[in-house]
Amino acid sequence: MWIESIDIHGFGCLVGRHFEFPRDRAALIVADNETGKSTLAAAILAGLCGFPRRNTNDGRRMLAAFEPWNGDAYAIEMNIVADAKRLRVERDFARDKFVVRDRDTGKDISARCDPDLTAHFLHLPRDDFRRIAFVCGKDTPSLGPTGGIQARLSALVEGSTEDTSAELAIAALDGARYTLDTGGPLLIDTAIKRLTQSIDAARHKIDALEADLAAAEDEVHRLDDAQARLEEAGERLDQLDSDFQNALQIEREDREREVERAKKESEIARAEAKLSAIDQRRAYGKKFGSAIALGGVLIALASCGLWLAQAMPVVPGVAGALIGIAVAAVGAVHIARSQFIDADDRLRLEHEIADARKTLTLMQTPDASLHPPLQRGDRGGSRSSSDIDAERRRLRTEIDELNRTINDLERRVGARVDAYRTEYPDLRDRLHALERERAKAERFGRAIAVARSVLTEVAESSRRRWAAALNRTAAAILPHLNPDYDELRFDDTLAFTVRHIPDNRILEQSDIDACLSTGAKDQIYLAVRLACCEELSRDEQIPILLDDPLMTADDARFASGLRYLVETCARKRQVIILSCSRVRHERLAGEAWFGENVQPIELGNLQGCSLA
Amino acid sequence: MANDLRAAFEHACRLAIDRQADVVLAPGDLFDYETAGPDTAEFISRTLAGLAPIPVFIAPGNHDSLRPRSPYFDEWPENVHIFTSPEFESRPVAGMDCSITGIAHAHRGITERLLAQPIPAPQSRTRILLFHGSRDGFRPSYKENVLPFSDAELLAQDFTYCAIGHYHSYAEITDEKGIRAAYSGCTQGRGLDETGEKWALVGEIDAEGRVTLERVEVAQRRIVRVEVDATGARDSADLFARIDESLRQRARTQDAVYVFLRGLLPAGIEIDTAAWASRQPCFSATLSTSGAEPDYDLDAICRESAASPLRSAFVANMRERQAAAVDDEERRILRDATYYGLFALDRRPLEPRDVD
Repeated sequence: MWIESIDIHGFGCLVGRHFEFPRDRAALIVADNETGKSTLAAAILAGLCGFPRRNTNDGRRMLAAFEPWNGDAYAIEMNIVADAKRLRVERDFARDKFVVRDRDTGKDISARCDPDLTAHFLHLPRDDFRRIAFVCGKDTPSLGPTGGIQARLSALVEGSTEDTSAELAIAALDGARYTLDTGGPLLIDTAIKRLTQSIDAARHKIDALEADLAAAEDEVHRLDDAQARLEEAGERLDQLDSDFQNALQIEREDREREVERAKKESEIARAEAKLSAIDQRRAYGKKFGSAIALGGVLIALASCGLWLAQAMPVVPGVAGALIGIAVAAVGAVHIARSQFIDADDRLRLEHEIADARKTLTLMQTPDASLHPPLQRGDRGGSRSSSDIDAERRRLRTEIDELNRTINDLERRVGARVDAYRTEYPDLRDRLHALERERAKAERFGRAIAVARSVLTEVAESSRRRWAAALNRTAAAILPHLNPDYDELRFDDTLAFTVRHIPDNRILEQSDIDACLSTGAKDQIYLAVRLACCEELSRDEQIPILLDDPLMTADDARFASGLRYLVETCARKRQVIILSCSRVRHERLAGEAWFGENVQPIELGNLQGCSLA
Repeated sequence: MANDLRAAFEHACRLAIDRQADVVLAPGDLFDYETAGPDTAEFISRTLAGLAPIPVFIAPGNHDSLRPRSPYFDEWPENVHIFTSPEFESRPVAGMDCSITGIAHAHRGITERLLAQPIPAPQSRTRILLFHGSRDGFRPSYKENVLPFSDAELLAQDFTYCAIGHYHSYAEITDEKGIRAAYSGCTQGRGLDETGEKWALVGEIDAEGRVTLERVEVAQRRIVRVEVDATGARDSADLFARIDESLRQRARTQDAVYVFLRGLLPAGIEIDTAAWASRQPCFSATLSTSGAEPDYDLDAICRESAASPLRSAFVANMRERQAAAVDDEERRILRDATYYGLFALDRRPLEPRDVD
């Protein structure tokens, strides 16, 4: 690529300016500070690459930084040669317009061009181009992230005609994403983690369902037990009902027997009273008969005595004795008759009493044959109906409780089984789907990791090759910029070491950054950049823009470095140097190599121009 | 599919009647506990009752295991005996010098190696072991490992024949005496692991205890897996013509067809699987492109090392790794990795390959 000219319609402090750059030598623009030198460098960079995207902070900041001061058109036009084509680049930053025309055909080829022309033609996006080909002496020398540069070095050393490189492919593999139904794209590990969480959640739910079902199994056992107890209680209740009826019957019969016994005892009492009355009457009759008989005997004896004593005549005596005997006989008859008073009644009464007593005796000693259905069974024993009824009530309460328990268990078991049958199939299917998805994601992740690993391994050789090439190139450059150092060695990450010749010490990049003088550091990093440009210019030469590149060098190294830039570098590629070291350049202007290889370009004197 | 499952079951039962079977053995998984409703149980019960007086022995498996409200706890026909013990128990077959020893899975299934110990066998001449278990070394990854056993453990048991359930494909276990055990497989295929003919086994055990098995297809519908090479297809019409030709040769109209594309699928061929499926005369048709490889000629990439050294070296390295891979899974990962690497090098989007 070669920048032939630039027309600045308006860019920062530069307005309406035209610069042409030589094709056969380095361009040197010497100007004092604050005259627009760095603005010109920025304009060239913006012409080649544009600004970062406007939706970024950098893009907005830079777009605003170089806006023309006086409201002039914010635009640049450049003539360049790239890819063997003569092109006209038109950029209107205010309108965000970008046009590229083929100057030979006049065709607008913008649609085929990346607005970042260094990315398009040099395969170096703006930032990478800035890192190696746009050197500003005031900036820190560090290269910053070099992934893109490594990628391009690999692509070149691999002989790829495309932008294919292991680094870009590895970056793409590193950025691989996995999209889930529930969201994404996600980093593969994140997707696997989320899937694992979902699997764990599904498993947790399934475990809960399984536990519920296991609990239902326990409840089924309890249910079986409760149903057995209910059955047993039902049987016991039936038995108690039977016992209760028996007890009622027995008690009824007992009461009837009591009444019967009382009746019998009353009958006996009545009969005995009657018997006693008969006996009294008999005793009275006997006493009355005995009195009459005694009176008769006494009369007879008195009559006999008187007769014998002859106190009484015989006739009255005999008559009296006979009367006495007759009276006694009447008395005896009366006594005899009294033994038979109410004899039938008495006999009947005695029979009645005997029968009643026999009945009572029988009633007091129950005969099993008399009450065959009313046995006081083993269960009922001698318990009363009220005792049995109380037990029946307790049993009914127990049965009610068992029924409630059974209903409750039935309901719970039903609910658990229903929940299991309702939820488990879906959960199982979901779990299987998630596990399949995770297996797929894991397989994806493993395959990506393998691809990355193999690509890295394969790329090692490429890296070693470009590192070796860089080493050779850098070894040729560094002595021109700083003769105290040599053996600039790159590793395959573009980190480098350098040897300090006077004390033969190898310095790591961190040592260079931290310990070396600003001048030495700038010169080593300039050598690194030039080496990179050299290696990356295999297809298309990279133009180099140097804004006060050697400002920290002493006079000797300034001269040596400038000479290398204009005499060697500028032979191969375009070198544009902007410098404020007017005195140094005027001093070197007399050198033959200077005159042959440098074309001074006047920037002009702009009062008040300052760098943004 | 539910109707197909029932039809296959009825067909198997009719087969038992037609062949005048002495006994019907069902080594589990007659239904899924989670989804089987009263209707299913009633259907099975009614169909088995139709076998009477042929005795039926059922050893519940892990899917129809004895869990709360299991249909197995309901009333079953008199000719049906369901083993309900989680330990092996034996039942004589009425009128025969034969016994059936069975076991029931409860809850999620028995996982102990019960066959590692001798199972008490009755004294009958013909002793049949009926169970639902996992044969070591043959268990698909998605199947639960229930009542696991090795061939050696099974063959060491003193049984004339073992009827085993769990795996959905036919398999027999033999020793020097001949067949000693068999999985009948399922009677009706339901998925891609159940393709092809599905059988009920008609077995005969002679007086010397020699077992012969006849496989009788009872499924009216097969799951048919057809692989079609897409390599070199000119366009989608050409590709579909290849598929249709393969289907004509291998599938019947009543079958459910899964077509898997293999080989290199040329770029630019658009496959409207839904439209294709709707044109198929068979019961159902599914077309999967997941098995087709992206249109990379890996041989050519390997050869073209000068033009594209990185790609060539990458593919060659991956191929070396594939050649040294010890198992199919590793080979599959490496094959996928090859394509992912090429996608990355070519700046193509990295989508996970949906390979079954």
